[in-house]
Amino acid sequence: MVFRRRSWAADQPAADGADSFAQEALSYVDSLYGTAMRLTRRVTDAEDLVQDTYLKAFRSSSQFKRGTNLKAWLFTILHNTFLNMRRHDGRNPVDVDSDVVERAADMTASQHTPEQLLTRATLNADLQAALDQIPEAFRQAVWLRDVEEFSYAEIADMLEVPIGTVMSRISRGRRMLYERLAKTRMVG
Amino acid sequence: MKNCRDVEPLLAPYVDGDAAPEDRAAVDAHIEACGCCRDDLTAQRVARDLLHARRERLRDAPTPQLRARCAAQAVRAHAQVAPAARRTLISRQVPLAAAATIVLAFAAVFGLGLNNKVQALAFQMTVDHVKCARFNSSPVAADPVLLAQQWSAKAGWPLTVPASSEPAGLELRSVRRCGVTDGRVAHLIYDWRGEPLSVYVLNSKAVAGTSQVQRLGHQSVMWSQNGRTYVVLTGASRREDLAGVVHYMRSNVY
Repeated sequence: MVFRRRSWAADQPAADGADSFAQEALSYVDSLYGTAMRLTRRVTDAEDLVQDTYLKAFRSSSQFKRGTNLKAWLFTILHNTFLNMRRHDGRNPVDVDSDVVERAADMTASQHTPEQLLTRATLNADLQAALDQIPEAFRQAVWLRDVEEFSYAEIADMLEVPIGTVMSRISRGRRMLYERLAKTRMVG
Repeated sequence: MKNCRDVEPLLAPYVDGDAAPEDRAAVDAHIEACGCCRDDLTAQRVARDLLHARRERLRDAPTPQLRARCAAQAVRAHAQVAPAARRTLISRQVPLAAAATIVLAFAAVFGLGLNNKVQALAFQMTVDHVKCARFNSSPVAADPVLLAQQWSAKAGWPLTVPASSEPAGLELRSVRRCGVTDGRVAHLIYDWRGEPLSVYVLNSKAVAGTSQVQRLGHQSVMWSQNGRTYVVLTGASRREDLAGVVHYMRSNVY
């Protein structure tokens, strides 16, 4: 399996270390914001989430273990910050077992073949919209795997769930995404 | 043979090519007999391939303002950590000359391990440049005399504003009070061959000699001259050309 991993150099002088940390951390703002947008689906919430993530990361930079994966560490903070944000909003943090999930999972696909779906040039906006309709837990797992290219183990650590749960969420999430796209094409 | 429920979590690593050999064999045996899971596998592969193919375009891009606010969190975070300890550190290590009082406004950067005034100035100015130069720049060339007059009236001390210069590739865009220093530092904003370039002017001598610093992907050159301190700063990578800009500034401030 290949995924990008940048390690923070362990042998840097202390004076430059914090600066390197800040610089590398800030290089992940696109990934963090893209993920925050898929989680919150609102620009203002996503921006608040990313800013809070950076504030926490910089405050607790001494807790980051040099040589480990800074991107995964930042995403863990993002995830926890998101859960806190949701709790304060009074919303259900993870709607894994809701009826929505079952309805989504049971939804029948269209008669289009998978190849037709691809060749019909699904628009990026359609793909984003389809993703946003998937229940949060599945959307997050699929996004972290297929867009951010984290490993199953990294996602399990991040979300604090067993690796089997991660695999199951990705499997179901991908299927739901396909079915959403198929449905969009069918009704469109 | 595994049933559909057992196989479901194995499909994701199977599609990714990450399944263990025994899991791969179990999936192969199952889908041979189960059309439902075979279709499921195909659907998952399509979804995955689509996401992979579009991954760069699927991410919403953060605004430049958000990037700047995130960069500013580095300073904010350290400004809020152990203020008593930091005050002690600063009072022991930084001479409190008049010029250094401005550096104290940037005390937060000491939390980042930056150990002298030059580094501190470069760091804070870089954050300010990222925050302000891109968004407070006028789209058209500005009148240096008018801006200098406006500055003197507002700030109470005279400022020389070097005009646009074609040989140096500079076009003056605006002058503003640098927010992070409570207006004590003048921030001259230029367009430098398509890239924003900042010149900060402190009304005091804060550094000795000429220093070059690389911070957060930006380069700065700073020096003191006639009782003022100047910091030329840009994110552009043409390091060798910056000497020409510095020479122009040195020749046109007094």
